[in-house]
Amino acid sequence: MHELVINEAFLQRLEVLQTALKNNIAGMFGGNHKSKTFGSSCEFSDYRNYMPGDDITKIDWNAYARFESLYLKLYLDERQLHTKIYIDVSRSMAFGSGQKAQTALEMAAALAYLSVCELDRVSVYAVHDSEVTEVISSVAGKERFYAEIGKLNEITFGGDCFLSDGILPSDVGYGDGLSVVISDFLTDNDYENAIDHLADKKRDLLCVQVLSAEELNPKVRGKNIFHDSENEGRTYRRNINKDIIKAYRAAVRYVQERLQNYCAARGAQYMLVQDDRPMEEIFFERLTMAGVLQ
Amino acid sequence: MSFYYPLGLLGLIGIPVIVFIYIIKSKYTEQTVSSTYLWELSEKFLKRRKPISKLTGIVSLLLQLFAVLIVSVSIAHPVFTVPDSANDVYIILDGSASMNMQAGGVTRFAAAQKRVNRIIDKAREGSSYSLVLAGDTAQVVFEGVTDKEQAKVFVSALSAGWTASDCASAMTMAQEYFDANRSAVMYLVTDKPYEVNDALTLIDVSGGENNIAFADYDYEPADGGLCGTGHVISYARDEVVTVEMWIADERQGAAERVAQTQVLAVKGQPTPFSLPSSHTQFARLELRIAASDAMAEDNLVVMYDREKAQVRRVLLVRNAEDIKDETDDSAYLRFAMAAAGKAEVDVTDSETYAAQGAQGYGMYVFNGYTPDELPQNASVWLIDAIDGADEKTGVSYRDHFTPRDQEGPGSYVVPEYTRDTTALAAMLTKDLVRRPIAVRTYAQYSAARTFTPVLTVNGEDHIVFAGLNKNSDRQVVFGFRIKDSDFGFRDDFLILVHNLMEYSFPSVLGQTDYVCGDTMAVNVVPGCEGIVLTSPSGKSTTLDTIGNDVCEVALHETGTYTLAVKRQGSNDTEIVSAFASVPESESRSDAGGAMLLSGEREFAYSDGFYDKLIVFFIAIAVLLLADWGVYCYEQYQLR
Repeated sequence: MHELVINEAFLQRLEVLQTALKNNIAGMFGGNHKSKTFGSSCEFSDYRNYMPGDDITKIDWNAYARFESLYLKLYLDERQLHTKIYIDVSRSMAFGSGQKAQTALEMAAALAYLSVCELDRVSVYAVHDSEVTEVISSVAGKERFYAEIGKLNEITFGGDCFLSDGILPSDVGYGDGLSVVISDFLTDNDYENAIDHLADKKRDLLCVQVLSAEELNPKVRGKNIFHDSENEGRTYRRNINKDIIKAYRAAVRYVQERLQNYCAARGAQYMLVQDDRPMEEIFFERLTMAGVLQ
Repeated sequence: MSFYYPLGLLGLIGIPVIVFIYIIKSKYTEQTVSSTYLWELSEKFLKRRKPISKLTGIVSLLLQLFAVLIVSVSIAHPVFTVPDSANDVYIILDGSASMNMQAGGVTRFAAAQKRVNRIIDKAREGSSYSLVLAGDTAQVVFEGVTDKEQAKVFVSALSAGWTASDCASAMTMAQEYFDANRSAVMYLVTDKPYEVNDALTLIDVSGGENNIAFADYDYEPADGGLCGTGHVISYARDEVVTVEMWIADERQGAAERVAQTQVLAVKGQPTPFSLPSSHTQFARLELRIAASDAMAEDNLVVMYDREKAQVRRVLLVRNAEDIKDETDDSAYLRFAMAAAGKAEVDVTDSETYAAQGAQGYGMYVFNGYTPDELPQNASVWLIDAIDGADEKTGVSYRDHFTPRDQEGPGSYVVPEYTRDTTALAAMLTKDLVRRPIAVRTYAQYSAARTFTPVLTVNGEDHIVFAGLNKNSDRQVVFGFRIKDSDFGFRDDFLILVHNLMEYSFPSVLGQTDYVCGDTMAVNVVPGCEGIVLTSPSGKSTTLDTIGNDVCEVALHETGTYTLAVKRQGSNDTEIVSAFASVPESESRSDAGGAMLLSGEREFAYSDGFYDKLIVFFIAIAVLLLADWGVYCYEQYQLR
């Protein structure tokens, strides 16, 4: 089990950021996100002619006195969204030093806090095998966030992970906020259906691919037999030389680009995170520059 | 093919070791990774490699194996047998006196030169030639000459000497050459039956001709006349030999035969002879073998009259106070000088000498007294000189040393005789028994380095020494009085005084009969302006007499050496002669010994192939370095 330590100073610095959502807001009333529809907030938006059946309490009588016509005063609508964070808790995420799992949990916590600060609700899910387990359920407000965030420490990494099989049957909502998938995405195409499903549900989607430094730039050389941490029966036997390393790097680029292109094609955002990079750099530089945060 | 150092092939053991290490290192390492997905996916991006590139995995192994093989073989130094290959020819040519023996009008040395030329002619083109001439010293005449004609010119310019050969040094040179080049073909060209091994080829140029020579010859008074005695040896066969004695009244004058005898000389055995004559005096006495043999030079020996010498006039100056105190010890010196022979000793005291002086003596002995002015053109003995001597003595008195204890062994010092090997030191210490003597007190002097010590205390204080003073006269210094030692009772005292008398009254030559190879000591007599030496071959040399009391001359020729001595104030030139005979070992040609070269010779091969392999070794080293460089570059790219 990986211990998540909340860095409050970092979280306070995160409060200056906010998510940049693209889809129509369809959340609950009372949030901090402005909807494309008119609502009952205090922020003035526009005027329109009175039509029979309209709420007469919205008539601007000052305008009537000036123009002798009835006008309704329109205000912006503000909605509370629901951020859903899906964490791949397969064994590959925790193998070795476990830095990938640690990075995934820290990112989940930071993104959750960011949503809470935007008066949204946050849920965190652990995707294990073909199941999605709700770890933190609809948390709103910082007090509840602090009360619930410790549950991330209870996540156990192990086994396999099939993102599509897990996310598709679950309740992902509809147009009501941001979905974040944090995984190493080291699979052929298991994630594609999940991305399609979330995109179909009009949710903003951020795919965070977490890879370790050794996975990006392996140091191993010579004759080796590799056993897959998620499947002991799956092995790779090779004399690792410069040609193999070149091919490996090409494979890494291919996986990144395929996921990135798939996300881009569906309006989703993609971010590659190396597990040994600090959170400050990831949030204040990478995510900001990528337009995920603003 | 063979190997110089087969043990170097032990390095080949490294080959199975490297293979074993390679096999161990080739074992697959099992490890678990987070996912094999990327590795499996990389197979799709792996470019198809050329079949030869599959060998790259074992290139490093092959290079290492090859390196071990090359290093081991290079240490073992392979030698390739190549037909008709060139050789390095190394010849030791005996240049001793026996090589002058003749057969049919041709000397052995000339025959040896022909054999050497034949060796050179027969050698294959491209061979190199080196030659060492073993004369009285061994010297390299030429080395590494590849031009046959040039080598033969060098050989033709050589001649044999008249001394014994220094074959030991020649063999040392040959061994060094052989050690550096085992391919060399080594020859020893000589007339002596040396024992050689396979590495050295002996070429015998002795023709079996007979040679007859003298041995242990001398003369002695007998029956009112002279009798020449000695032995003759016939080295090759029994032969009847006629021996004659010839006498000349003058050293340079004509001689007449005065005696003759015939003896049957048994092969190899010294056969005695005696040649009595009625002559009582002679200046030159010759013994001759009247026979024709291989070497004429050893059929004649010449002796000069040893008794012809001038009378030595000596003035002994005693300390007047000692005479009054009755402590004078001049009697020791007087008797010893009288015993040395041919000395007329006059005695006076220091007061009389100081008042009247004295002239006409060949030697002045000052016993316990030092004159204000040294006599000139005469030898001087200073005994316990303290003061009064002027700067001409060349020595300065420092102090007297007397052991503190008055009783027992600590009350005296025991001086040591010099071990110097110079001609003068040998002359001064000749025949000494070297018994220890005790000296109770002696004077310490600072003397010039040109003085030759005879007796020394603790290796520092010379208490008897001789040399030239600043008048260029011969001077002997005693640091102690005879009465202060037990030296006067010793036989060495008489012998030393005799030697010092010989030194003080020098004749030009103390010895007139020599053997070739000896060093002749020529005394620079007082008043000598110059000495010219003429060798038996007629070569004249002016000896360096300035500042020297003895000139040393190495005798390389057999026959009569003549010394022309020019004295100051005299128009006449004194002629002195000496005879250098052929060494007895060279008169017989059966002298020999073992001449062995250590190590085995590789026959008929050329080392050139090995030298060319060096380029190959360098190429391999460059390849290894290149391989290492490529590896480093890969690591740099993969960092």
